[in-house]
Amino acid sequence: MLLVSSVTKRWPRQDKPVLCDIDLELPAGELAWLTGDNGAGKTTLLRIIAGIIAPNAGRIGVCGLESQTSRRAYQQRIGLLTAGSSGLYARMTVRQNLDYWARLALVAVSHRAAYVEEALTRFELEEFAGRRMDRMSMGQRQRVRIALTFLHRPKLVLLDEPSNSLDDEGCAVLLAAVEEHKRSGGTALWCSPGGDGPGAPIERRLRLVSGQLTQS
Amino acid sequence: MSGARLNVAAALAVMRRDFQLFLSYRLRFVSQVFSTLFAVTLFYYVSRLVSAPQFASHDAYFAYVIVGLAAMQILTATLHAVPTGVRAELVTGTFERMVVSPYGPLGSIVALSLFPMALATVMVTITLAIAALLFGLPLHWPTVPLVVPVVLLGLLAFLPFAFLLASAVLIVKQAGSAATFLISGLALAGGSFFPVSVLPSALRWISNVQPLTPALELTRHELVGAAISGSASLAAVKLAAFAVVLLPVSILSISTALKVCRARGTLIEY
Repeated sequence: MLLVSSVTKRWPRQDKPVLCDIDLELPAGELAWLTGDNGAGKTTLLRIIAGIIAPNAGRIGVCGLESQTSRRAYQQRIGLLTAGSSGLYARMTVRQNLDYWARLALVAVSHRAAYVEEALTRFELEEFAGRRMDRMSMGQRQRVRIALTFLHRPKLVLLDEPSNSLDDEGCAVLLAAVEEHKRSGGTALWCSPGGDGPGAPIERRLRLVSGQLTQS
Repeated sequence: MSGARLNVAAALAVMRRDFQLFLSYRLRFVSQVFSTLFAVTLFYYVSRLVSAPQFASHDAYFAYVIVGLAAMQILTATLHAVPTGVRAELVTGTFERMVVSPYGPLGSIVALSLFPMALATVMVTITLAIAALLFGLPLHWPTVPLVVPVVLLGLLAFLPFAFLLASAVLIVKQAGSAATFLISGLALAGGSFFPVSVLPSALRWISNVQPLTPALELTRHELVGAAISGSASLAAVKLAAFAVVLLPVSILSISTALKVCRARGTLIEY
């Protein structure tokens, strides 16, 4: 599903690479937990996989596709949840945000409405569908952001600190979505600095230290 | 659904989103209409004071300046909206979503121009309607329909400047002052509010190397029957040439800026 080969990333004017010769293979149906101290490079690795940052060296493949040669198909297979609370249009409603993303994700018009409804149901957002984003709590906004991540049915979801701002019910909804994603053959990479982890059975634990990735 | 149709649907989604955001500010359109009314009224009374050999009458200057005002509305909307739109997407974190979308950042940036252009076209129509209905702007009705393709051609000729500014926003994260500088420069050298012939000869060459001058000459010719320095077809060819040469260059500049920012890791920084 995900194949990261010899990826190195070095920031300009910094001697030490933030990621050094990273190799990672995640098969279909797995949940991996990526940990590491603040600034270890977890988000950078996720952004490289998502095609936001180009590595200095190495290759990344998702379902056998590479971003440089098959950008559109590659991005269709990826869902990215960034850390924080950004990425939503504050003056648009929940439904408008979801519908807009479905269109940018090039979901076929015949499926678009169904995908939006499914996201509203799956993440228990039906009662907020017509509410503007700036009138929702942080936890509710996070649910919308998670719904956007899964809406276009990606094969690989990259989750950067996904349980931020979520209450117990929100966490349960998130974990259920990840479990369902795995059952349908998808792969998830859950990233958080530490703590008890995702709270769901993980197939492997990854740790970034000094630019090196260790697995257990 | 074919890839091309999905692309069009995604571009229209960006336009639709901008429309939804525009509608969410309920008084925005009304305030724009009133601003236009005040601007037209202002220039009407200014025109009553203008007695210059270049204009046969006060009304001739009014017709001249109203077309200039309308063109500036389109120019400002296009040149400001795209770079400031990119900047706003960066600040709100929504640009990241564009970058990871299958539609992609390049198409999204190009699509950011659609709603501002459509809105500017509506505002130009309102400007001309106010000028004609309230202040007697003499429209040359037989050629008025030709203004539509002229405006479209003008938009295509102005757009590359907007895309170049958007590229600058990606690289240096700010380009608002550059847009203002460019708009002011074009207003000065393009003949929006006064004829280029009154400029010092050392500056007159600038009017030949940018698209506003032919766009204005052609629009004035079709809309109010003003005389044109060359032929109408020559002005149209000049506009088309600006679009044909500069559009691919400007789109390439966005693509290059995206690549540079990806390599530097600064694509979503602001």
